[in-house]
Amino acid sequence: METISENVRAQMRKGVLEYCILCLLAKEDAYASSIIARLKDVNMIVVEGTLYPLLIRQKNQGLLTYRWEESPQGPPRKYYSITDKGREQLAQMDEAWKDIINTIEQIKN
Amino acid sequence: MKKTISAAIGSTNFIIDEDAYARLDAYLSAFRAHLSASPDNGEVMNDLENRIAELLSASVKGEGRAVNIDMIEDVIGRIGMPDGSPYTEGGQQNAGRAAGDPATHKFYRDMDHRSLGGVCSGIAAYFNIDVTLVRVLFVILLLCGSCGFWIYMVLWIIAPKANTPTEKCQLRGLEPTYENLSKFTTTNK
Repeated sequence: METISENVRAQMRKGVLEYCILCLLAKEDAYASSIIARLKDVNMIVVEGTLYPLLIRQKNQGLLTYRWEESPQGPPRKYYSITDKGREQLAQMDEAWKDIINTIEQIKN
Repeated sequence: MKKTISAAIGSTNFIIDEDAYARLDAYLSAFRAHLSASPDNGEVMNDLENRIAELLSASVKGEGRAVNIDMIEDVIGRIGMPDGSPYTEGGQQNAGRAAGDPATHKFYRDMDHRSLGGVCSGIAAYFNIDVTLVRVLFVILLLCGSCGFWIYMVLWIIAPKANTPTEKCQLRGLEPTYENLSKFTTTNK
């Protein structure tokens, strides 16, 4: 029983992970490592490996972009920011998210 | 006493214990194998290496300390696999390592010794025979009709390149131990 509900949770998180990334970047630009730290804080991800393929895919879809920023220690790192196209996408996802919440509410009541 | 080697991970140089190196290399190969086929994978692996370098820099803290296997385990535990599952030992990557188990023997094209597509050099490395012999046989096949040409083209298209040291070991049927891996390591990128 425990594992089934954990499974469902994992599926749900996976579904909204891209949405979460856009939400975070809409607020401020960030290093991959700080995106990871934020998502870990709120238990959205357990391991970091999921994120790298996603970031690259979103970047290639034109939703994100990055620039190289010097870091105080070590080599320069990628600093991600959201693009206009990304903001459009985010607005659509916001709508979709509201729809889902409404739907669930309707079904329950 | 432990042997250490120097390796470039991401764009940072590290001194790393040999067992830690073998573990990291196996992990990276497994991670790559778990990615769904896409042209972005090179970029993903680059980002991944840079992240690993970042984490290792933090655990090494300053000069002089070698990366050990505990630090690698820590990194592997944090990053896991692309699908969000943890990286577990005893998977396929380690099948060749357990005592008595035969090492994985897989055909790849050998790009280090190629003259065209690496097919002949791959066959030579796989069967551990002289590459010239294989090439002569192919030329003879070519002269006797187009059969050799088609065999070559089909192998060229379907056989993957041996990119990583692990794959180069598999091509030769060697176990992915540190000694074997290091034979095929020129740059660790």
